[in-house]
Amino acid sequence: MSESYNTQKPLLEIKNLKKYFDKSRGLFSKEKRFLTAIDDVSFNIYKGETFGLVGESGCGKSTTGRTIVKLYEPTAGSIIFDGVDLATVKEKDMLPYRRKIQMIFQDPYASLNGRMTVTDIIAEGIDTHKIFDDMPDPNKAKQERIYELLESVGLKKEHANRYPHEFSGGQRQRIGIARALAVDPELIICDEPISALDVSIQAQVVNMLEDFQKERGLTYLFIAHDLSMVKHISDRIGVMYLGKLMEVATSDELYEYPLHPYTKALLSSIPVPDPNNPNKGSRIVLEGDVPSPINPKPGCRFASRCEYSKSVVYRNEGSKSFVDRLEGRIARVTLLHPETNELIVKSNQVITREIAEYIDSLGKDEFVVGRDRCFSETPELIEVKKEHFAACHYINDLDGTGK
Amino acid sequence: MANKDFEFISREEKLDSEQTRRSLTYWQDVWRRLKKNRLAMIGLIGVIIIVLFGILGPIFTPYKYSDQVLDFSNLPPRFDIYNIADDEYIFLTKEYRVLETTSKGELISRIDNIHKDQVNKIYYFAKEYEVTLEANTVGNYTPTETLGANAVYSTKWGIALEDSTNAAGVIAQIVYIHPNSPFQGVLMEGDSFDIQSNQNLTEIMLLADPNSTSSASTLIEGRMGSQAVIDALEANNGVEYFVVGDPQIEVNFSYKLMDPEDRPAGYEDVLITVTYEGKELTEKSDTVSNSTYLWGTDSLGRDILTRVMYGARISLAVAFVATIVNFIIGITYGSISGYKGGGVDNFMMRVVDIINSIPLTLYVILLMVVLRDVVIDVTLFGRYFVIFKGGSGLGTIIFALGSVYWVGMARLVRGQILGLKEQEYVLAARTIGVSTTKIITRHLVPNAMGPIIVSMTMMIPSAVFTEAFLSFIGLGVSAPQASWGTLANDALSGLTTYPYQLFFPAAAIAVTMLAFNFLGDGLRDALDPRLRKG
Repeated sequence: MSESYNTQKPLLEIKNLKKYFDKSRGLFSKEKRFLTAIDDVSFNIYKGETFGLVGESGCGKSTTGRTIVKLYEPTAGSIIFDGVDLATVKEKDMLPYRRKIQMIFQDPYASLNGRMTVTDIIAEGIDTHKIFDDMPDPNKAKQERIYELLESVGLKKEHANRYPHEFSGGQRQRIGIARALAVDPELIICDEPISALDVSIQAQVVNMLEDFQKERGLTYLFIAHDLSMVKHISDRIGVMYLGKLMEVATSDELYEYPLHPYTKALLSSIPVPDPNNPNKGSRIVLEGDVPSPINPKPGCRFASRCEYSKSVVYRNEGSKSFVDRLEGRIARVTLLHPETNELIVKSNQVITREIAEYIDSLGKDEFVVGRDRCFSETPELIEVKKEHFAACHYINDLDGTGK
Repeated sequence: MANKDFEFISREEKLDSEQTRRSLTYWQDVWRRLKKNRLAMIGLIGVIIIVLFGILGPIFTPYKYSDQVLDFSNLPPRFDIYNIADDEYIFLTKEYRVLETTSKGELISRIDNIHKDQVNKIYYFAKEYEVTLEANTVGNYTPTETLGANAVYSTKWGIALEDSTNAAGVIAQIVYIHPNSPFQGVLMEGDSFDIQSNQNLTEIMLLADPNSTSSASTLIEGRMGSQAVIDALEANNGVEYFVVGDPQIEVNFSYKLMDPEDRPAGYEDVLITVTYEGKELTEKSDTVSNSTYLWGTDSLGRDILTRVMYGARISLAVAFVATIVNFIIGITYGSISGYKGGGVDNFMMRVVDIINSIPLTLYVILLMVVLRDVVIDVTLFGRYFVIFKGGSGLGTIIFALGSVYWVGMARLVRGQILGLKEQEYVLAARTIGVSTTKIITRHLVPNAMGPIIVSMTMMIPSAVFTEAFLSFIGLGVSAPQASWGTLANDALSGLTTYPYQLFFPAAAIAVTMLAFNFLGDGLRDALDPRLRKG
């Protein structure tokens, strides 16, 4: 787990992957609106490892998983699997690669077609890839394979001819796993496979996935928002925020020494079942909401909520006037009129000349604004420590001890 | 109880103890739920009855949909009869025709009127006389008198007829009867017969001389056109029936002068008095059901029951064919549009919008004009089949409904597919690499089948109604074919006098629509219990 990954050839290499969804309104609107679900994401997954992808809802982790299996056509970038760039492979030539990459879905109730028996569901991949067609008795071989798969996921032969609605959520997720395993894949993308399950079942399913990994040498891309579960199962973890990868590190490193302010906030939100928790009260509460992913502004995606993106402009410093220095910068506090409570400037709003003059007229000595670099320049994912990448301009200024 | 009281069971035991029952497929489950819905089952039974009524009904009726008996036109399903003699009943129609019936309501024949008097009396022949023609009396009756140049003499029957005129127009008058003629004592010299109008035909036939080429004979033959009857008469023996003028039934339609306000409900201004051999019958003796034509007849004397049965065939054929065409086109079009999405979807849906914006009536009229002369036929296995005949109207209606109705289905299917294609099982199938065709046929369409079936069940009554509407305004099937719409249209002209003619086709339409709607509602509930109302 802790040996160097750099020496290994990655099984899957994601390079500058982008996926924009066109959200332009109507035929005649001039304004183009793009939802940047994935924006310039790069990471590698090595054979036999589990790469966890975490982030809050809507940050693009599921889209990343789905783009890798080409359920969505990537806007730009490459998905290099086993030396082949899947992004350039045409849909009709995808079949051989489809067998190698499979997916386990989140909702066990939606991921099985209710009109098909368990046999039909599992056999679909076998039929599509004609796996047993060169055998003397393909039907028998297929049947045996289905029984074997069912038993390996903890179901019985007798279940083969039943319909999905006759199973519990956990059992249905097992059928979904059996379906993915039926074509002998190398990489399985687990798109929040346990988040819809009962906690007791979650552990069973995760343990089963780990067993399969050991037995069959599978590689997982494990997408989740349950941070403790991700820590348990993953070798390395990528943290996503609003379509961008914020931090990538091995699982122990990330949980011990998170570097990125977002990761810190995210990890501080893990509930600790201990009333005497020494870190009680140290939870970082992020201000505001996740900004809209439609036509995002340049700069760091996290800047609008980041404590470290703030800097202070003082009245008495430098040669330019206070107003000149405020104008054009981004406010990082919300300012209300002291008497009327009328909103003057909202946090993350650009300070116009008018507002700057007003702030000046209030006689304030200082004003909290955004750091220019955070709001203008998109940070690259840089290797801060060995095997530990983070995307932040001021990463070296931040304390790397997790505080 | 302590922990030691319990022991672990093995996994095998746990799995084996699970309750197992036969698994129900989706459709078995739907059927189970449908069976519980009483209204839907009534609808289903109704649908089955209507279909059987259309398919099997015509086998059991002695009439064809085009059989006309003008004497028995506009007969109601129930009527009043007068008992004139022991076992003889008559029924006076609203057109003042007198029909001889039995006490059970079977129609025997029409009794013709001899003449109408100036005021309000109509006289009818009452009886048929039976004359036995004996072989030795049949033959050449050479006239013992000199006949006029205009006379036509039948040496076979010994009767001379001469054209004559009176107020009614051209009539044939008996000018001579041979003393040995079988009609001696039955017919009188001076008796006259109105050949042109509604005269008793049997009687005239007796006088027809097949050997003669004179005008009267030709006239008679031309009018009759029934060679079979003439042949029978030529056989010269056996029993022939004919009608003579006496005794008479006198029907007096006296108009009572009555202030409309004083008139009690149900009373008419006309007082009908039937006089038979001097006896006056004012009271009708019974009201009986029409045993010959159960649902009565239309204005051309065609059996309404038979025509409603044939109408069911046509109306349901139109509905089913149109629905099946809709089903095929609608599902194919809608699923491709929905699954492809984007520009393809946009284009395909605009085409649907365009088709949908043309009014159906206009569309049918245009198609009628275009397809009027189109006949598509094939010869298969040495047999000749007409696949499509534009002139009949039936093919055009099916074509029009089939080519327009699918837009609704296409929209429905598209909507369903749009929702379903983002379902994870479809994504899973795509991840596996299942082809688009298979995804549509195995994953999407089966899951959209519920609303599709419901929409189809609802589409059948709608197609029946549209067909009825088009036929009603005269764009439907052409006569003598009958659909429920044309039947309703035909009945409309006599609505106040013969309301039953409209009642039966209208009831058939209503029952069909109700049955299909009940079934459709039930199916919707059974297919998707979430949609259940209330």
